[in-house]
Amino acid sequence: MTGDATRAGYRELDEDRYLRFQRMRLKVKGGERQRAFLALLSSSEEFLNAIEVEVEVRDGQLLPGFDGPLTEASFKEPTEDQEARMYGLWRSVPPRTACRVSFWASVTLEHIRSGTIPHPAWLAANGGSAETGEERVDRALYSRTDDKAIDDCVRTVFRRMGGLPAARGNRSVFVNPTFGRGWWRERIVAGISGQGDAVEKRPALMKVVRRSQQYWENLVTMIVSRSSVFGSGSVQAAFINSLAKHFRQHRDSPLQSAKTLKTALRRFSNLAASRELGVLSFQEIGTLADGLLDDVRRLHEDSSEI
Amino acid sequence: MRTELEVKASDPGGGSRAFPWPVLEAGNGSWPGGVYRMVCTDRNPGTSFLLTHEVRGAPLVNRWMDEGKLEFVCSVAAPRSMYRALSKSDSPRQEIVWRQEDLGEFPMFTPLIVAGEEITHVVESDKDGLIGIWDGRELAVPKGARIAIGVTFKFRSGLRGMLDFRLSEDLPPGRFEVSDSAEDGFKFKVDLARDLHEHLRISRSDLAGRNIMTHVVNGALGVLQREWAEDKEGEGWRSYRNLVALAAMLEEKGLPCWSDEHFQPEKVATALFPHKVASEATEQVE
Repeated sequence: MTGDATRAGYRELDEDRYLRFQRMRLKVKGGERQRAFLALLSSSEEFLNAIEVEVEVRDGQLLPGFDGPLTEASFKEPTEDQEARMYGLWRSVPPRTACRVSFWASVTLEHIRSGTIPHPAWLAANGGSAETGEERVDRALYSRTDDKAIDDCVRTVFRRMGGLPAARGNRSVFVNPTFGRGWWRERIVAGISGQGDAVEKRPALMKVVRRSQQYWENLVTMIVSRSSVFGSGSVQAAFINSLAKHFRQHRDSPLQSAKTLKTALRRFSNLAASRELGVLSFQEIGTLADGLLDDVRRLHEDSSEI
Repeated sequence: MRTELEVKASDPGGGSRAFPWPVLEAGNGSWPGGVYRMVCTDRNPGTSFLLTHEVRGAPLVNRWMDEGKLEFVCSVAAPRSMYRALSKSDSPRQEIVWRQEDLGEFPMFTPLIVAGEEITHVVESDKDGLIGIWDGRELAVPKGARIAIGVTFKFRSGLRGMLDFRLSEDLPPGRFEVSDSAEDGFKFKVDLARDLHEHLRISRSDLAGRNIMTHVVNGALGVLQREWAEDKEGEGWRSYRNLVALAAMLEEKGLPCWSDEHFQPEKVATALFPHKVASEATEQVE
């Protein structure tokens, strides 16, 4: 799948047109447009054609394709090794490109074109369900009355391809697309590893960012929406590093739940309201975060004893 | 190009938070006459600018500045690409630098003055310029404490940032004119009839507003093609940083520059700011 750069930048879909393409298919739940879109998922060729007829492809450098084996299950939730391989292959992509749904959608389409994703219906597979994407699409299409099932399916496809900002805001690109989510998780962990020798080892850090979809989404939401809290890369890095250390020391900590993480993030936010943590050293921020996480753990353990 | 921003303690704001040390920010009465002024100069579009922090009406802050107890910082944030960086300096005059390729949007800047070390101090309100309520209090200010909080701002972007909209009472309704001005950095003077001026002032992003903007941009690009196609020994358009940045932006988007022989202003204007028609522009996601 590699190719020469024809001009600056990477190949991607025209952002405005792609977002319009999404909006048009979200207008009427269970409507004809949604049904027709889902019907396309049975053929790679038809799926690619239908998108590229409406959405211009902006030419540019083509990324090398993912070269490991992919199954429907591993496309839905790639393993840690697979995500590391993706990031290794695509490390050169600048963040200003990697933050666009139109870019990751294009990457996904190229993998359908090359056959690495042999069935576009894989895009419709959802969450922890044992149902395949194809089964889910069939169930939605043959149910003549369940408009929500059809709408849910369409949204899953867009999320998995590159993200769905119309429904999930800017964080969607970091949280939803298979390729984009892996890239951003790896980038965050690479940023922490770059903070020096005192950081936790990679497997411990990966456990934090891969704990669950909701866990990752809570972390991303805080980073994206609260610049006053995570005002510098070192603050993000120190907080996630402290979480990794916390889990090493307290295997059954209540902070493993996404809900308790939210409490900790709120407390961290209160701390950052009065102090710009970015002027502190990585170790100093870590000490503050360690103490805060321990407080939250004790608070939750005490309250569960009552 | 120079941009000045000011935060006055007397301005309305969210300064009701109870910090155990005085903070110079909008709505915080600790220093009633306190002003935090931020001056941005030497702007190099897309990469850097010089930021100068100045404080008036808060003698204690100025004293701490002179004693080297404070740090001057500016956060650079682009949430779209999770970009967060903090520029730090011991001097109130600092260069703020960022990497465009890390950003997915024009960055937001928030200047601050913070404690560079732990500070302890017993307040003498007359000498320190603080209101009486602080008198005699022993302050324990931790490292990183926010001492003066500036405003979050963005530089107006690219071509639109060069448009200087002015009301022209002489123009009949529905008309506008675009001309160039190279007096204080390069910009376009856009003289608007009253109705257009009113409309753009209030609703620049509705259907009509967007289309007027596209038309204005088309006019501005036409001026560049007519008047600024040549660059004579560095005395032409390349002597203006914002025009150099604009040319780079066009190139990045695969669009021709106004100095190119086949440049068509309307083609570039509608590529940058496509016209919308009613059915598309009023689409809503359920």
